[in-house]
Amino acid sequence: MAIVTTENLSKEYQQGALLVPALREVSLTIEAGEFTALMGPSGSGKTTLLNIIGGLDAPTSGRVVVDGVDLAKVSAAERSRLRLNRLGFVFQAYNLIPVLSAYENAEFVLLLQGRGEAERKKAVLEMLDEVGLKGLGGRRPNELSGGQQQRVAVARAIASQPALVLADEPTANLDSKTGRELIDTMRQLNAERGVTFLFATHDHKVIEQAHRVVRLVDGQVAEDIKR
Amino acid sequence: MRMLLKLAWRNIWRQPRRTLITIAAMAIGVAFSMAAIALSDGLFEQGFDTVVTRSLGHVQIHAPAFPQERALYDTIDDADSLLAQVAALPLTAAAAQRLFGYVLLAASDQAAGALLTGVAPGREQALTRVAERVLRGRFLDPQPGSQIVLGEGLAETLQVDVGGEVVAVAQAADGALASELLRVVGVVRTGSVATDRAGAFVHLAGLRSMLGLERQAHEIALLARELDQIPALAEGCRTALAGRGLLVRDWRQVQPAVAQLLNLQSVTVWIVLFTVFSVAALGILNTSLMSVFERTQELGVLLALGLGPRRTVALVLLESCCLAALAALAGGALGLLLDWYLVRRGIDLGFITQGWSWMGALFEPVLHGSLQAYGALATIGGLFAVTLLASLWPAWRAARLQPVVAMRQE
Repeated sequence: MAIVTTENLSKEYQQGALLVPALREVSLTIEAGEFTALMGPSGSGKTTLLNIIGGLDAPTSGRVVVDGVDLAKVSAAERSRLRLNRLGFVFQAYNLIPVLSAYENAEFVLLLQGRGEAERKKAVLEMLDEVGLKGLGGRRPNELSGGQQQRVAVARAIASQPALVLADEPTANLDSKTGRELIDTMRQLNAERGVTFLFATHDHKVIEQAHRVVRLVDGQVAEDIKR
Repeated sequence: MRMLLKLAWRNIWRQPRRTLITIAAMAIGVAFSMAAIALSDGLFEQGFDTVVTRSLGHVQIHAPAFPQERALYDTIDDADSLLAQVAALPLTAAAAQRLFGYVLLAASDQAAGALLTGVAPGREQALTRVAERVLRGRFLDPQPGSQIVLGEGLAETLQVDVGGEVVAVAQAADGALASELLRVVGVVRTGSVATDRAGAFVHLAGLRSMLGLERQAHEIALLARELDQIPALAEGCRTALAGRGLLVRDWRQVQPAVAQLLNLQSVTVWIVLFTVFSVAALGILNTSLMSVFERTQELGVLLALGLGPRRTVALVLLESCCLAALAALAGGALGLLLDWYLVRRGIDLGFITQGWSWMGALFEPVLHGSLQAYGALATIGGLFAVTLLASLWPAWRAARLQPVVAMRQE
């Protein structure tokens, strides 16, 4: 079953008098359960594609369907609800809420969804355990290492059991060992829980772990390799 | 909502110094607003008590020409039975009749013109509490007698004090010259400049006898049980006395200038409050806007995670409400302390003046406050209203952020 379908997706940015193309006619289908890496050099359109699939940005032309919802046909509030209930995000800069503990950060999306306390507690403790942060739930982000913060971000993205997790350069701010461990964790979640991952990276060691690699060059799909 | 409240509470403590400064400014505004209301209410009560309750009464009944002419002959006939009638009205707390007579008072070496007010001591005390204002001696005995209580200034003019004697000489209603020897039993400071300088109190029966007005009075004054019942009491009197050709007026009609000035005083306080709260609003707006600007990236993340515009607005408003709640607690406590001081001690202007005169009434040099629940409620309610209003714009800005743009901001 397709979780994401893009058809002839294009995006142009206005820079002064110039129109700069970020994506050109990208057509892509991501199936449920895939662990897909988007690779390419800086400026190749990886982040733009993730933002458009996540409903955070709008394409200039083309169509995006996420979990059966055509993003062009729904309001901003409905896109917000889709992000809340069906998508998970992991950002390059972790982007945890600094005033909340690791536990509370992981719980945040579940609270927004209106889940009950017992359900939240079970899900959050399980996720913190799975990402290797058992016993560290009470720490604030500034009391955690970069790798630990990114693991909290992964726990936050997955605790609500989304249909798709979008991760933008999740290992970019981590050393290679920590980055590999994080990708191992994501792979494990993908294998055990069937969570679909689509992540942007240019780290070749990380790409080696992916089932499928989509290479973007100048906003176009240059290569799509399934392993 | 609990999660948003927790987030809001923690967010305000990210910049503790700024938060404390903002709360302190708001709290000082609340405290001084409460004190200003208490002082204004105290001044209103003091003014009302001195000018209206102790002097005019809430409702007055006269012969139609008396207020303009103040002539000896403009009397209320059969005043005793009319007094009994209006005193029995359900809204009447106290009622008394008064007879006025311009006389010449002479002591051993001095003489002065004076306005005698003939009163029934028991009824007058219930109405104006004049007996509580006696400086030396006592007020008139309940039983009629040849007694007089002099205004403080008049006693000085006549150089006579308690135990002394004065002779009152007046022209009676029939044109004959009447005189009476009166013993000074007390010296009073009523607070009314005119009464204290040239007024005196005598028994109603004695003055009636002296002036030849046996069953008449110039004025019947009444107090209502509650201040908001004054118009109804005046209307009740008009109905009860219909067809008698008498003039029934409440204190606002008797002294419209006093009413206007007392109203103006409360308007002045509201202007002060508006100014204080406007300044507070600017402070809140500044704090809220700074907070939103500083957290643009984080707000972008929250929006990306699905917080939604309405919850984003709620988060920013809750942050401001947390500030307002702390300011209300601190300011309310400080305000109550100030109110307590104003009520118990007051502001003593004794080092500047021995008292001050307003609308013919003499006020004590100590300004007292009056503590009423509405003062605190209005101030704190106003604080929250201003806080929410001032935070609407920053909240709206936060809700309209584009997540992808906001997240790029440093």
